[in-house]
This record gives sequence, C-alpha cells and structure tokens, in this order.
Amino acid sequence: MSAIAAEAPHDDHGADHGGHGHEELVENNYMKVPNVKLALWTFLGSECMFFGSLIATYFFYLEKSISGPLPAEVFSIEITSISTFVLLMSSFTMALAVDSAKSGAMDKARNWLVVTALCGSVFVGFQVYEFYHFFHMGLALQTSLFGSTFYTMTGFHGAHVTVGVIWLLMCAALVNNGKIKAERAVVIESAGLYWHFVDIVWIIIFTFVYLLEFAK
Amino acid sequence: MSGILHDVESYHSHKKLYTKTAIILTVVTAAEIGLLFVPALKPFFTPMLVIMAVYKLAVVVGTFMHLGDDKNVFRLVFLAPMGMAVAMIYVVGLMVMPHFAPFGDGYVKLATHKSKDERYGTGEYSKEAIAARDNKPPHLSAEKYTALFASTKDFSAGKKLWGANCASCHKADGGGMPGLGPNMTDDCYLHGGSVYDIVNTVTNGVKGKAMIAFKSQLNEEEIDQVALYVRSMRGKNVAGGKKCEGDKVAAK
Repeated sequence: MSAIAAEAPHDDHGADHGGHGHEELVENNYMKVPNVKLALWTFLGSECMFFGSLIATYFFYLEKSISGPLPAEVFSIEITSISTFVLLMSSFTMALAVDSAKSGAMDKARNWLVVTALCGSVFVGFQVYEFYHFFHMGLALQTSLFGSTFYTMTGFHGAHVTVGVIWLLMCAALVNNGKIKAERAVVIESAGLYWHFVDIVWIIIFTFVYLLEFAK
Repeated sequence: MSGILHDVESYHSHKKLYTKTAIILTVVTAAEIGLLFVPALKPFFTPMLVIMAVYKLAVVVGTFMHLGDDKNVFRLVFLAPMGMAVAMIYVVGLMVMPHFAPFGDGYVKLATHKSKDERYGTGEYSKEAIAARDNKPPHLSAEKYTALFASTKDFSAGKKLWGANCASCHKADGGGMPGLGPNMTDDCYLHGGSVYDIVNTVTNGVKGKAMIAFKSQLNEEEIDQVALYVRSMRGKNVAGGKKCEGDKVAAK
C-alpha cells in the first residue's frame, strides 16, 4: 500500500482531471479519488486477468488441433486490419468525447460518443461476418481446440465491445437529456476507460493471434 | 449517482495530443501489417510485432487513459494484475514464441506437439497409410493358399473355430444374420472370395463394419483353418441364408 501512502503529499500538483485538487469535491476522502474511477480501474485490473487467461489458453492449445481448418487457412489479414483500424480510431473519438465533455462542449461530447459507438458497431459487424465466414469454412466452437479457444476469446471480446456500445449510447442519451453535465465528466471518462481497455485487448489479440500467425 | 465535480474552467484540452496519438497508432499498425510483406525481416517478425503491440498498448494506456499522470492507486490496481497476466501469457507463449526464451532453443516441446501430417492425417499419417501399416498380410501367397485349399480334405478344425468365433454373427450354418455377418454359403463376397482374401479379412477385419480383426485372438494357423473352412462353405446355399451381398465369384 506504499503507493497510496506516497500519493498523499503530492495531492496538489500534476494532472487536473477528475476534480483533482478540489478537496471538497472529492468523494473518497481517504484516497482522494472519485469512486467511480477507482471502481473502473479495479474492474479493468480483473479484466486483465480474464483476457490474459483466455489468450494464454489460446496459446496453450495452438497447433494442437487434430481437425478442422488451421488459423492461417481462415484468417483474412485484410478484413481484420480494417476492423482493427476502425476500433483504434474509435479510441481516438472516445478520447475526443471525454475531452469535449471536460471542456464543457456537451453537444460535441454527445456527437463523439455516438461516433465512437458507431465505430464499435462496425467492429462488431466485422466480427459477426468473420464468425459466419469461419463457420462456413468448417470451424465451429466444437470443431477443434483452435475453434473453441478462438471463438471463446474473440467472442468475449466482441461481447465487451457490444456492452461498450450500449454503455456509450446510454451516456450519449444522458448527455443529450442534460443528465450528465460537464462537471460530471468523470462518468463519461469512466466509460471511456472501459472503451480504451477493450481497444488494448484487441491490440494484443490482433498482433498475437492474427499477425503472428502470418509471421510464421 | 453521486458524481465527482469537474472544473471546466481549469481544464486544458488535449485534442492535439490525442490527434498525434491517433496518427502514431495508425502508423504503427500500418507498420505491423506492412512488416509481413518484407520477407527479409522474417527472423525478426515475432520480436518486432510484439514490441510494436506493447508500444501501442502503452500509448493508449498512457495517453487516452491518462494512467501515467493519474493517481498512483489506479496504476496499482491496473498494472499489478496486468503484470500477472503478461507473465502468464509469456510463460505459456514460450510454446509459440521461441524468440523470447531466455535460454535453450526456446520451444517448450510437449508430447502433444505433432507435425502437420500427424494432426491432419496426411502423408505417412493418412488413414490409408496407418491402415496399411497396421494390417498384417497373410503369411502365405495367394497361389499357396489356393493349392492348400485344393489339397485339404478335413475342415473340422476350421469348423470348430467357426463355431467359437464366427457363428455369433454369421450363424452356425454360415447363412448370415441381418445387419451383421453376410451369407458365407452363397457365391458372393464383399471383400474377395479367394482363400488369401478371406485370410486377410479375418486377420485385419473390416474398418467401420462389424467384422473385427482376429489377428490378436487367433494365431496364423487357426486363421488359415477357419478361412479354409469358410472357403469350403461356398455354394452350399443353406436354406434361409441372407441374399447375395458384394461381388459374385465362380461357384466352385
């Protein structure tokens, strides 16, 4: 816990997000951090282990399938590159949404949230297409170790993106109704943390699962 | 929902930084994909791809998520589990990323590590090749078996073996049973009617059918005897036998 203890004296310098430096506005007086953000980061820590396990399991069973198409036979580098790019850019638009909200431009924030959700939907659309395509090439969840580990890993990621899209649209609606104002930008920032995390999981999956397959 | 209040006035926009970050991410991703089209760099593919992915991850976490200049407690609750996850993936990943092994030749070899041929049943591991390897050929030539049959008068040993091993599916009189063994007393055979063929069928069985391989249950002599007896049944056409299955051969 030394990390937390060491934090206290530095309370008044550094970044100015999340009400930093405004004692009376801080929810949690002991750690001086907004609860919602602390909860989000803790949740994301557990998500690291969740996706870490799924990725490790995928590796563990890689090249041990005894039937069905091989990864290199089903993967399409073009399609996955496009969807990866869309998801990366959605992180950018998400950052812009948080930035707009913190700057007090709530209309802009709402628009960027919608754009981000749209990018997320496009990514999910690509994934649905990919799964459909793989399935018709003879790769089902129960076909092989590759099938079951691949679909479980990328499926859970896709589910996270889907949840994120719903979350962002809810935020956009609340911003639109004036329920989230600039001083409560931390709510959007938290949704953004989740969104960026889902993006970095895909950065890892894209490189380690897709690109390394073509690097062999 | 009790929110934390944010001071709009004192906030400085990060738009420029974010735009720069987006450009960096795009360039690095393009480099990752482009790398694969430079065969000369093949030995460095894995380390370079991993470095670029880690760089992208760090950029997103550091810039978009502001973990670098945020509270320590956030770093603690996020980076500690991430470190554990990375360690776990690294250890397991040694099986697929030999470049990252600190010592040895880097590949964790498991008993289950099989070649493509083994995994997909091609080449020397194809079904045909395995069947051919597993099959035990009859120990005499086709001509010798034919001669042996011509000189054999006493089939009682074969008949006894038939009763013990074959009758349960082919019936005691050899007439065959529906859904199981075919009629042995007609002049039709599914897997060849010469003594040699019959020895082969009895020895190795028929894959995917009820006919099991007898090579582990009867010795060579016993299989010869039972095959000769089977051959002697041809053309008897017992009453109530199953109708012809397979190819017709000469009646005698």
